[in-house]
Amino acid sequence: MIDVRSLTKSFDAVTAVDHVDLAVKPGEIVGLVGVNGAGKTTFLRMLAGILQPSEGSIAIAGHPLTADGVAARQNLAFVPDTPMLFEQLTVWEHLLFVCELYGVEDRERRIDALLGEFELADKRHATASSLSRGMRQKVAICCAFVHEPPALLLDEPLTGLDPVGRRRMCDAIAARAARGSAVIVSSHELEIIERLSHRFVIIHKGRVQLAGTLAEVAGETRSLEDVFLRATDGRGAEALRE
Amino acid sequence: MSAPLPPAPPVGAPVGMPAGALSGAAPLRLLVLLRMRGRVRAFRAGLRRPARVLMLLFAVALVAFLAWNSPRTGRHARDWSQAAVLLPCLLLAFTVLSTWAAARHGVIAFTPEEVHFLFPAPVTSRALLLTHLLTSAGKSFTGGFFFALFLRPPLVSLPWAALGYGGFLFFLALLQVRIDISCMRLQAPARARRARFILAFMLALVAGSSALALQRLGPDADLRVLRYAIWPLLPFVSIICGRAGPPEIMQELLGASLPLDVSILLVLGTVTLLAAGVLSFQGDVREAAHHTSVKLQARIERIRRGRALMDAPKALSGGRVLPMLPRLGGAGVHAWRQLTVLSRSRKPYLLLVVMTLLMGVSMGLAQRGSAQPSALSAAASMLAMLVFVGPMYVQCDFRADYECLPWLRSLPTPPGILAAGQLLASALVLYVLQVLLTGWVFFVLPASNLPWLAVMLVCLPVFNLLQLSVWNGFHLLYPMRMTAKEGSPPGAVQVVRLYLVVIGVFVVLGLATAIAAAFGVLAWFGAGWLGASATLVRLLAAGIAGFTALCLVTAVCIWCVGRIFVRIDPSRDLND
Repeated sequence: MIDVRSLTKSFDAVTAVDHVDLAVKPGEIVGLVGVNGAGKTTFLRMLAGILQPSEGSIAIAGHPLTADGVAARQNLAFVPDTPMLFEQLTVWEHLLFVCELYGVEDRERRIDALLGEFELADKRHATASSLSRGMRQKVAICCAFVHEPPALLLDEPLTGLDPVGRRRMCDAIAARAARGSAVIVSSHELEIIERLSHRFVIIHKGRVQLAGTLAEVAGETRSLEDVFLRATDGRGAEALRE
Repeated sequence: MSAPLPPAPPVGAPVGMPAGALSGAAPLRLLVLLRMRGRVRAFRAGLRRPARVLMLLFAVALVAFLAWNSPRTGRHARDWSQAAVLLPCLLLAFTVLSTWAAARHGVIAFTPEEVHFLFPAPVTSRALLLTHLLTSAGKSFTGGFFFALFLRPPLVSLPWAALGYGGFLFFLALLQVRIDISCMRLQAPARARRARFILAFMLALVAGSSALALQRLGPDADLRVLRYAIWPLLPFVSIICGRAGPPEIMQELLGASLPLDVSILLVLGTVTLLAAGVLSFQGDVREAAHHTSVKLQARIERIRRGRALMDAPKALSGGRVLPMLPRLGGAGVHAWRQLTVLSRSRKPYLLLVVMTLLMGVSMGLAQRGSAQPSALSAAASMLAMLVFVGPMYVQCDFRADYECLPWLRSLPTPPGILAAGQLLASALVLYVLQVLLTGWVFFVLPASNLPWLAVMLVCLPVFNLLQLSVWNGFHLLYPMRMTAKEGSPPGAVQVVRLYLVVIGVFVVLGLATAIAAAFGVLAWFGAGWLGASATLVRLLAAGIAGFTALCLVTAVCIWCVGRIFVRIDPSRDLND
């Protein structure tokens, strides 16, 4: 569903993402972890079509992003790390706009179901400016889910949510994956990512340091946190595998 | 899970949207409608607040006053004919600066929420460009209306002037987009080089045409010197001047005039060609627009923090640390912090100096031929600019620290002393600029006026502090924070609020100066009553009394700023 080959992004002399390969199958959740400045957000922004790769290729649902951008974007949803909403639009209007943007037909039913799922039904007519950080995050996620995209790119989707909200969000992401969406989720919440994801990609200084299931990258005895700390402490993956 | 999920469509199935050249344009129209509805809703909600209603009434009255107080009278016509030379110069300066800015920083910018929703969506690049152009058109014609309110030629109706200015601004917006498109594939250093090249080219063009004009027109060319450089803007000037045509002095400057209908056709043709050039672009604008949007957002954030026109902070300071000032009860530490911030930002001061020089040159040109020597009026304008506009511009005080107020309040410094420390840095910087300018004024001022210059040099530091304290007091009471949530420049509400605060500041300044003057007059008569007959002695007594009163009033104002500082609630919403 998401096919990334040798993806590279350079800004002047800095290489933010360095020859990253990744393939995400339908129904799979891939956890993208890395220290601050590792290149996670740049990677996701390239997948979302906001930034253009310096090298490499991206295909979403078989559509190359550079050559067939509209069709590729039709099949994906991206939630940035900070939820940006139109301040004067209500929650309902945001979802209505996204439905129109992606050509969703049974919009009333889908919007109602999502508002119920994320406990936003009573905020339906509240403008974005009146919402708390967590509520805004929920609205941004609803906007990503409303057109049921086959590819989901979530950058720090759990930021600003309370423990109950986090649990609900994880359940919602898992439910979308169970229906066949390919999900890439980036987060610093390693414990949650460990529970949620099927596979992990540890990215460090723009390069994939480790990739695979937890058992593949660390064996049965270690946690993702152990693996992450060792992979990013400067000694690299080789030291970790010793 | 609190509610059952809707049945999912088959994974990967196209939801159905034609991928035409303007795919995504229909939802963008819906977005415009929804946002307009949102604005109307917010406006109606705001009308429930008395303060907002008063502000609205003031705005309506202001616009009505400016619209009806048209320059029809002989006095206005005379004023305009003196200032008519400024209009083409203004348009020329706008063109040069806009062209350079488009190459250097880019102009195709979207708000953060537009980036969030539109960039990953199935919207073509061309639809994004069209959206940007339509937004620019709206802003250009709104801006044109405000330009027309303030810079309308005599005997010209408001719609013509608004149309002319709006058309000019839209032409500039299109030109900027085209330049941005031509530069967007370049890396940052190459882009900076191209921007410098474009600026140098345009300045060379202006200088070359000026030199040519000087050579051809001989010694009588000082008004016509810019004729060749501003000639391409002639159609816009003709539309701005409407059916009445350009004033005589402007015709003399331009050396030619175009019929109104020809001007309109020329402008329409140029705008259409530029728009077609922009919309025929085949590449993807998202990445460049994203970078420009991020930079614009950072600039708006700096403005919101009170650091308007300041440079973006550099990653490294170069290791230079200013020596710590004497403690002065805690005031010195705050002044040192503010001076450190100021020392790392040169561009705004360069801009202030350039603005001051432009003001002087323009006023010198405008006063040409009048009884008053033009060099003197230029110097007076520049000094007035630095004295009255400087404190609005240099904002390294409470205005730049609004988000640190809770922290500042937790410090063990008495509020009055803290306020003095906060204001000291801006006052010092302003005084240095004023002294530098006064050095130049020294050469153009007749020798008989030099004592007044000396008195001014003594009074200016105190007057700067007084002005800064009044500005800061008003800022703390009625903060002019600009809304960064929408990622857009300030709206009409902020502009009206600024107007009201400026009026308030000048009222307080007038009162403070009147108190100082009253003490001076009292001392003058008091010295006479005590038997001092020499004018110099009485003058000295009046000066000392007035100056002492000014110092006392300033001290009281600074103390008041300290009291306001400890009383305000920084957590309240300031965007209403």
